[in-house]
Formats: sequence, structure tokens, C-alpha cells
Amino acid sequence: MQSGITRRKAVGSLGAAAAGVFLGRPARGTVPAPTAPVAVGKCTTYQPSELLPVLEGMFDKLGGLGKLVKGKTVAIKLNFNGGSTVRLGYHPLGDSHWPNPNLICAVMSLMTKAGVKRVRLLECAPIPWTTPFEEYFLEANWNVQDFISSAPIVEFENTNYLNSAKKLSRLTVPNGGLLFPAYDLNHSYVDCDVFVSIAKCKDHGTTGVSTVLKNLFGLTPLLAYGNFAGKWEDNDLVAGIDRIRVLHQGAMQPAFGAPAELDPKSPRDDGYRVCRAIADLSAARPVHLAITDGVTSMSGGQTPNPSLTFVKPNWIVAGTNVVNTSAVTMAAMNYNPMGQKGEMPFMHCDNKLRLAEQLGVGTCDLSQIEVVGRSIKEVAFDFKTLREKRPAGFDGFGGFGGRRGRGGAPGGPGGPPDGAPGGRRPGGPPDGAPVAPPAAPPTGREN
Amino acid sequence: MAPLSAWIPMRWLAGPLDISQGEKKKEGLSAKSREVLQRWLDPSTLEILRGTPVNCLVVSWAAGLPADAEQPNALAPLLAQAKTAGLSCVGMVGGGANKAAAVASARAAGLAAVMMEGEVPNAGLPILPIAANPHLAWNSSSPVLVAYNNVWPGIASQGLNSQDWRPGRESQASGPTAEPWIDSNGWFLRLAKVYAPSKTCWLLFEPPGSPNVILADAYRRAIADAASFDGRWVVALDDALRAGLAQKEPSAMETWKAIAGTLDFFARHSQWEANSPVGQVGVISDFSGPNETIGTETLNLMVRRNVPFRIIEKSKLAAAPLTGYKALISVDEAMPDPAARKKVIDFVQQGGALLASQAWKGAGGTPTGAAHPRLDLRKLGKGKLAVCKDASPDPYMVARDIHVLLSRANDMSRFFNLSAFLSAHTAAPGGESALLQINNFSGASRFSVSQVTVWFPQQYREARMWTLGSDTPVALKLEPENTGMEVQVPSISPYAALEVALQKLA
Repeated sequence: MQSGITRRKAVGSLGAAAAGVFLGRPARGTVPAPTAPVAVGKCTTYQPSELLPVLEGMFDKLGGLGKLVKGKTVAIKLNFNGGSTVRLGYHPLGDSHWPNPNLICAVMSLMTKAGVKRVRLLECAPIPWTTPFEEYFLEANWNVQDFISSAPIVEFENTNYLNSAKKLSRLTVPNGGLLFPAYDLNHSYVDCDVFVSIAKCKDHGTTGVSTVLKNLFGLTPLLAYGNFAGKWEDNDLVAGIDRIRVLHQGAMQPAFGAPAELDPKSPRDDGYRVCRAIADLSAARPVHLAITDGVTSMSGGQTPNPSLTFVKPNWIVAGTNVVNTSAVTMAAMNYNPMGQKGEMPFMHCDNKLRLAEQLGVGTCDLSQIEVVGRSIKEVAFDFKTLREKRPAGFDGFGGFGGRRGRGGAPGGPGGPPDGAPGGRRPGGPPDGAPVAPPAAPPTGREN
Repeated sequence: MAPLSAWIPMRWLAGPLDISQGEKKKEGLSAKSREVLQRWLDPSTLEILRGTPVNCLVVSWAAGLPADAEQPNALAPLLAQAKTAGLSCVGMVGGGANKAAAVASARAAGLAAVMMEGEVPNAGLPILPIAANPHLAWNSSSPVLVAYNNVWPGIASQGLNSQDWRPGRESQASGPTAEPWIDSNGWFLRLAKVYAPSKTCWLLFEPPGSPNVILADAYRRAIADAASFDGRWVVALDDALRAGLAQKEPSAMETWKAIAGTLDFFARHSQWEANSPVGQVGVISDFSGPNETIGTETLNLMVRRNVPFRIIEKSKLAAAPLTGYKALISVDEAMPDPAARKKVIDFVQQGGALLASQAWKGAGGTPTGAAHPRLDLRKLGKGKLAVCKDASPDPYMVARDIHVLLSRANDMSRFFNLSAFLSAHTAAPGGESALLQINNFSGASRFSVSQVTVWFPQQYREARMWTLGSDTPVALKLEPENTGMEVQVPSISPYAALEVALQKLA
């Protein structure tokens, strides 16, 4: 960072072109939808002996981590959706719907090797502010020490709260925003030099898929955007565990002084709203490095329930542009990242990638994205067909407001489909056998 | 006849006294209920007990009502048949009764014991002291103590979560975390084990009345909730079930079979009663006077949060070894005596944590500077001292805060895919194996009771599960995870007992 420029100013000025800094080549500052290479790696286990070389190779192909993190404070937005004690069968959380802890630690280790100064692990965790964020890791049965020993300085912050800051930090959406003009977030999303999104690739009821882009929805603190935001009880716990009333349904406006939405008369449909909030956030808080964990995952939804299927796609996708990376991830899931509303997986929602593209964050056109490392065709895993085969009510298209009423799927009758999770480790899950890549659009330029 | 401590009791409502008491209830007594109370006088109704572990009938004997006089005669045929069947009969004597007369008539009628408050000199038969929970006659010579004022175990009210939200629902929130509120008597039985370790504690409580429909699993939970904490529920059936059993209705017989099977299960595992509670948190209190509410509620909420704990009776604190403890709770109004206080301070200075009432305000230490809405956090020696800011701390928060103060890094178990549940964690004598009894209160939800994982920090090598209705245990798969072992449990409905061992289980 240049002296005299605060991180807050830097975030505001970087805008959507931030990713270009890492590339070592000019960002397409004048191009509304930038593009940057996206690396695809084949990885079959979470063993450090496999993860480290695969990730290192991928980062090298992106230009090397050193240029990005040396001497810097890196903030990593984790992807802790659902409760910390809810599992898909016996699978540890990092195997099914949270990014795997070994993968996160491997990324941190490689950052350390590249000279990172400090790593801050961030998430809006539904626990009291008096409970250290580390306790949430422990509750999930993660070994905190593994993280602490992966970087010179490691800090944990639950971004649902103010913590050491006196107020939330306002991040304005360049060019006005789609749903809100600005978002009030925990200071940690401003007080960092490099911002990283690490997420699992999953199906997602409300917005089609959940990857590094959807992960940004979780930047919004429950303090301002939670179901009962503003109705603080006299304790240390935010009431409500999600943002359904404010962001999904638009049944109430944000609290705690956060800006109101742009158009209160806009649709109250979460298929309209959530994807716009995500697109806004991707523009307001640019991502410098996005990593999708697709080594193991689950198909059919974002939060475990017995109807979902444990899968083993065996790949990792990483890039410096969050929309580009999300687009390649979608293609590797056999979805069309440019799909329109009504097309799988955007059956009931707008395409958040296209919305982010409109905001100039990055293109979702695979023909414009350089894929490095493995080709999409080589690694593609067919989430789409698995989803299409799911019985009615388990199609992963549940929502929380507007179109299908409260709750949505899952909840239909019948038991889990064949191939539902069995034993934890070997056997059972569909493995990462290659599948036909998306028929359309083209799979992009591949190296 | 089995020794008193081995009695497995069942409340046997029948006869004019129970009819009279039913009529005095606010809601009155329906014709059907009256008929059932009459019908259960028939000795043939005892047939349902054949082949079950129930070996003791608790009958109403006297209550200070006119019907007292009729009751012995009305019960005579039933009692005679019970005696022939080898059953012990206990007469319940209410507070308004002439106790001496009731004891005399009980003796004359051949009852094996009476159950009542207070004592009668030269009774000539055992008197099982009965008292309101938690004020039992701990020092009584009786091997059995009986408590009333207990709760029907179960989810008390539905919690509020975001998906349940609709306008006006806020008032139904059951707790600050929206977790279901579970009623359990576990905490009291833990206390009983401390005050009267060699005695058996019987719990009196009845199923919720009409219009509640009590399913077999609810009965099984009621039995298991007591048995998991080494207590014994005096089995009491609801009106509808008793009516059905009198008619030998198949559904009623099925429910009864489930109840009897559950009683049998715990009778066959009575060796578990020799186990000792494990826990790194010690709760120090005298549980009486001004400390009764905060002390007992803290126990209740520690059970509810599934934080293993042990109880340290304040009067014995000075002599109690504090080995194995990592955190202590002392929220009584007054400080322990100086020797005990020094012991606690030493414990903290050596690295322990103490969550304490304001009485400990002057205990020293330096503020950590960390903000907290309820606790004044201090560092004392190598340890942590957390003094409650409120003179009357909220026990729910005490239970929550001690878990954070201790840190989950010290968890003795972690649970996955379980929501509304309670667990009782004990160690077998010698400490070679541990027993984790889990009561699942969440009903038959397929989202919450299957494919449960329990993590233990120990490197256990063998795990097996006992379930109600099964004579043999099921071997469970163990997977190494996070320096410990995870045990994979297929399902828990409504109860499971996990036995884990570092070596092969006997």
C-alpha cells in the first residue's frame, strides 16, 4: 500500500479491477467486465502431501502468491454456512459443505512461504460476541492449532459484530448498486491488504450454486442484516441466525444504521434479491484471490440434510477474479455460467454472475476466460445431472421468500435417493469420474 | 421378595381414594376415568406385570379424606394377588392423613412399606421418606428416597428459529439461543448422588394429562431420563393408556410392552449405576437457602448444555481433591470458608478458571481488559477469574459462560447431527471404559436423529451401542479425527448408551 492511502480508501478505489494487480499484467480497467486467468487443479484428497503441490502449482500459474501477499495482511472469508454441528451423514464439515480445513491451512502455509505478514480468518458466525471465534472451529471439531501454526500471525474474527471497531465500515457499491447502495460490514473487510474468498462448490437453493461468489453474501453482519437486527436483547447474542427477513424477503430494512435498499418497491422475491446483494458485495468488496474447494462436496443443496448426496469431484479452482473463478467453477460443475433465469441451475433466480458482470466485476463468459492448469473438460463433475435426477421436493430449489413461500425445499416426502451418503470415507459417493463438459457455452480457452 | 433398593416401582392408581382425589382436582374426574380407577382394582389387571421387571406397586393408601377408610378394603383383593405374584406393595400416605393410623393399617394389610413425609415411631415397616425435590431427607436411614415436584421429561416448548418466524411468534421463543427447552430431572439426580451416594432415588411425576397423547417413546424417555442419571421413575400411566390396558387394546399393549422393555433394559444394566460422573467443571454450592435457586438451576442448565460437570458440596470443599478439574463455578451468595477459599484461589493461580459470584470480587487478580456484559474478567496467577457483574447471575448464562471460559478445547465429547438431546457421561470403576448415555428428545425427525457422530478426545479403540429393545450391543465404527476418535452412531431414538474403551470391552 502506498503511504497516505488508507485501506478503506484503497478498497473504494480498487473497484472491480483489483484482481489485475496480482496478474502482473494490466487489468482491463476500461473494460466493464474484466477477465483474469483461472487455474484448475486435479486433487483427489485433502492430504497436505497432495494439496500443497497442487495449490502451489495453481498459484504459480496465476503469477505467484508472493506478488499478492508478501508483507501483507490477508483476510480470508471462510464459508461456514449451516450450523457447526450439522453434518452430511458422518462426513466432517470440511468434506461436505465447509471448505476443508486442510485446504485452508495449505493455502495459509503457501502464503507464509510467499512472505505473508498476517492472516485473518473471518466469518459471520452465529455465536455470541463474547465467544471467541476459535470456539466455533472447535465446535465443528476443527483443530485450531493447525491454523495458528500455518502462518506467522493468525487472527480469528467473528464479523457479525463490531468487536474492536466503534462502528461498522461502509462499503459503497460502485455505480450505485443493484439492491443496496452500500453495505455496512465489519471493519475486517476493510482493514486488510488482500481479500480472499475460499468456498466449497455446492448447489444452492436460492441462487443456483454456491461458490466463491455466493460466499460474499456472508459478509453481511447479522448485527445489521439479521432477522431480528436492531432488536438486541440485553445479552451478547444477535437474535436470529440468518438474513432471511432483510436480504431474502425484504420484510424489513437493515438495522444499526446500515443504508436502506434502493427501491423498496422492488420484488420481494429472494430469487431477485439475494443474487443482487451478492453482485453488489462483489463490487463493493473486491476479491483478490478466490479458491473453490471441489475436492469433495455434496450435491443437491447448501446445508446438509439426509437427502443430499456426498460427491467427490476431485478438483480445485482458483483465480484472481471472483466472477471468472465462479464461472469456471460452474462449468466444472457442468452448469452454464451464463444461463438465464429459468435455466438450470437458475431455475427461480437471476444469474448473480451476470449481475456482477454488469457491475463490472468480471466476465462470466467462458470464452473470455483463460483457464490454466487442467482443462474444465478434464475435471468436470456433473452436478447438473445429479440435481436433475433428484426427486421432486429435493431438487435443491428451496427459497426463503417470495416465490415458494417460507422454508421451501427440502421437505418433500420420501427418503433420500439412491447414492445418498453412506460411509464417511471410501465408497459410496460418486467419484470424480470425468463427465461431459457443458454443451454450451464453449468451455473457454484452456491451457 | 427383592430388597428395597432393587424395587422397580409402578404407581397403581385404583380404588375409592384415587377416585375421591380425582374428583377434588380442578378439572374433575370424567366418568371414564372413574371407571378405569375402579377397573384397576381388579386383581386380573396385574397380569400385565407378568414377565416385566416391575416388582413394586405404589398404591394410594391415605390422604386425610373420607375415602381413606374404604381404600384398604377395596384394595385387599388386589394386594393379595400382588403378594402371591411376589410384588411388594407400598402405600402412599398424603400429608393430610393420620400418619400413625395409616402406618398401622398398612402394616395390618401386609404392605411392604409406606411412602410419606415425616416419621412415625415404631412403624413396624419401612417408611420411604418423600419430599419435594430437592429437599429430600438425605440423612434418612431408608435406602430409598422419594421426590415429588419433578418434571415430565421432554421439550417444554418449541424454539423460535428463522424459518418458523411469523409475526407474533416472538413470544414463543424458548430461550436466548432458540434451542428447544428440555425439561429433565437429571440435574436433581446428580445432586442426589452427591448427598446420598448409596441410596436410590425414586421420582414421582405423572404424564401430562388430556388432551396430550402420550406416545410410547415419551414413556421410554421418561424412564431413560431418570435411569441415565441413576434414578428410578415411579412409572405412572396416563388415563388413556390405563383404560386401553384394562381393555387389552392392542395399541395400549404395544405401548406397555415398550415401557416394560425399557424398564427391563435398565434393570439388566444396573451395573452402570456404579459408574461415576466425569467432568472438568466443578459446581460448588450448598444448594440451600439463598443459594438454592442459583445452585440447582446452574446444575439444570449444565445438564441442558451437555457440559459434563461434577458437584462439590461446599461444606466438603476444603477436603475435596480438585484433581481433574479445569474450571470451577462458585455462584453462592457467600464465599466458602477461608480454608476452602484458599484452596479455590490456589486452584486458579495454578491455571484453573473460576466463574464466581460477587462475593469473590475482592479475590484479586488483574483485569484482562476484555469487555464482557456479564463478567469481570481477571487474570489471577496462571488462571482466569470471572466475577459476575450481576448480584443475581442468570444460571443459563453461567452455564454458557463457563463453557467458553473453559474453552471447547477441553470438550470431553462433541456431538453432530443431534439437536434436542441430553447426555450423561460417566466412567466405569477403574476408568477403563466410559459410558455416554444420550436421550434424544427431538422425536422422529429424520433430519436430526440419524447418522449421529460423537467425538471423544481419547484414542478409544472400541465402541458399542446399546439401544432399548435390544439384548445385544451393536459395534460402532470408530474413525480417527482431530487427535481423538469419532464414533459413528446410526440413530438415537429415543435413547442410546455408548460404551467406549481404550482396550477391548468386557
